[in-house]
Parts: sequence; structure tokens; C-alpha cells
Amino acid sequence: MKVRFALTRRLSQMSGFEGGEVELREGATLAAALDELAGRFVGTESTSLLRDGQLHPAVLVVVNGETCLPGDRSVPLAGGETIDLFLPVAGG
Amino acid sequence: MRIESMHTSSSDTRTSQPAHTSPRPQPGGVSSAGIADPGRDPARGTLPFPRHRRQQLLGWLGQAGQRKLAASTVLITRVGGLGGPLAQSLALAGVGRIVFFHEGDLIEEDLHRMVLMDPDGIGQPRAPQARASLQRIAHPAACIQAFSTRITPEDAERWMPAVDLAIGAAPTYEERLLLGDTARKHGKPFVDAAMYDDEAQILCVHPADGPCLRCLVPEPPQWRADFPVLAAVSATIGNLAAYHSIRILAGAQPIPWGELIHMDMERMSLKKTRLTRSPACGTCAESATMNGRSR
Repeated sequence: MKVRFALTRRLSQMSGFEGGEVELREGATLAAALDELAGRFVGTESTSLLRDGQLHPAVLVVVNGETCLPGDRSVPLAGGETIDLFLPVAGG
Repeated sequence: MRIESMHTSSSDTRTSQPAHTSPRPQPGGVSSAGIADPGRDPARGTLPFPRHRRQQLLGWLGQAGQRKLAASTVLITRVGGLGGPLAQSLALAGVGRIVFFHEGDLIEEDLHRMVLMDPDGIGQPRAPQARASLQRIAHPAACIQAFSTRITPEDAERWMPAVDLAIGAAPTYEERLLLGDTARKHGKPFVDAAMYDDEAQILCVHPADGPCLRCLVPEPPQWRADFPVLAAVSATIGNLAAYHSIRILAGAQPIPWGELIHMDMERMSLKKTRLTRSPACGTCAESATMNGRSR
């Protein structure tokens, strides 16, 4: 099954991943999807987005418009979901 | 510690008081420098508003909303590329008292985006320059109070009880989280605004209900002090934050409480995401305990 990742600009810059469709095994949960995503991160800045292989807690994960609580990665996926990832920005 | 304050009224129109050095003016009553609390100024909130007639034509504002703006006090951390245009719009709209903290001296590379600064003021503290710009455009009865320091937890605690709205417009997570945490603790609304490159975000935090900024940012991610910034972007998001701030002060509905508004200028995309309160949020837990309730 496939899910689609959409990353905000700064998150794409830092992770080196532009987003797009990712193939997952049937019955995969959000945890598997995020692990797959993290495996695509490249570049020196991307290391700051990970903590023990997991996404930094400041990265907001939204599945089909529903916000996931930090640390809750047990959300089941059916395929076809859009997973939006936001990294809060700082600057002004 | 440098302090810059300004208070004008219909009788002392645009007469600046000299800068003083200590102690800090207090949020309530009258400071040692004689700066009246605008909340206790009998003229405030009852003035005719000929200069604001056109905006009072807005259905959600009207004369009643205008009076609320005139009676309001806003606390802002930083008035640079984002907070400057934001403060400018609040002053133009007729907000009665604007209090802000902005440390540091003006450098040449500030001038491409910090609209409140004086191009001749390089090497001089930024806060008095911003104050002077705001007092030029504000209603004569408005009070502009400026601090040339970075806001501290003590500052936030001292001022929060006296304000109607707190606004985080600083480039650092630390200042924004400090203001957001303190606002939630005191049951005050909070607007957070930030940008980076062509991307920006706004979050309106309800005084008591729903998620706070700490729910979104439990710990700050890595960020760059030399963030890429174009004035067209920082001013856009500053004014969008000002729009929501004015609506909050005027008591307008609806307000996008707890919704993360994310903009990407290059893609011309605007996305709203409803956040959820984090059970692990220490700020919300402390606020609920203090107020004897759980939301």
C-alpha cells in the first residue's frame, strides 16, 4: 500500500526529502511509515530532526487532517493517506 | 537596564517624556516616572474616533469594538521584521497601550525589514527608535512603552496581569515559549507568529482552553539565528497576526483558536490544522492545577 508524505519547506530543506508517495507493507501503522520516512533523511541538518531514530518531538504529524499526539505512532493506516509533517519555524 | 517610555494624551499631544533608567514602570497604577496606567485613564475608551471611522464600518468592529481596542493593553516580544509591521498595524488600529521588549542596537542588515527603525540610527538601541515610529502614527491618547532588553520571566510575570493580549514575534523559541507559557498561566490570550524563508505560521492560543504553544513545541528544534528573511514575507505574516490580534481585542468571532495557520508564500498555500492539547504538556497541566480545573 502507499501513503503520501507532504513536508513543509523548512522540513524538506533540513531532511533532504521532498515528500511524495512511499510504499509500505499492508497493515502498516504510522510508526512504520515514519520509520520509512526517517530512512530517507539525508544530509547533516537531518540528524537534528531525529532523536534515537525517531522524529524530533517538535515535528507535528497530521494524518488526513487529524493531528497525532506526540509519541502516538500506533495509528493504523489503510493506504492512500496523506501524512502532513510540519516543523514549527522560528524567525522574524 | 534601559527603559524607554512614552505616554501622550489629548492634553499633552505627542510630548515625549525623557528616557529614564530605573526603576521599570509598573503595569498597574502610576510608575515612579509618572506614567499613568492607561487602563485607569478616564479618557481611554470613551474618545471619539474620527481617524478610525473607516475601520468602524467593519461589521465585526464598529464603535463598540473600537472602544475595546482603545482600552486594550498588548505586550509584544520583539518589534523587528515581523513584530514591527504587527505593532504598526496595532498602533494604526487604535490599540490603547502597546508595551514591547526588544534588545540590541541597530545594525545595517536590520534595515531591509525592520520598518520601525531609523536608517540614521545605526549603532543606537532599537527600542527607542521603534517607540518613536509607533508614537508618530498612534492615536495621541495611545501609550507606547518600550524596553531595550530581552523579556525575562520576571518581566513576563510582572506585565501579564495587566495585559489583554500577549504576542510572540521574536525570532527565538525561548522568548515565544516564555510569553506563551506565562499567558496560559495567567489566563490571557496569546498570538504566536514566526517565519523562516518563504514559510510562516500563526497560532492563536485561547486564554484557557485547547492547546498552547508548548503543546506544539514541547522542546525547540534546531534553528538558525541568521534565518533567511525578506521583508515582504515577515511583514505579511506580521500583519496577518495583527489582524487576528485586533479581532481578539475587539471581541470578534470567530477566532481560529488552537489552529496552526501555516503559509508558504512561494507555493501560495495556506493550511489550517486543528491542534490537540498534549497530555504531556507541562504548561497546560500547571495552568489546570493553578486554576483548579482540567480542560
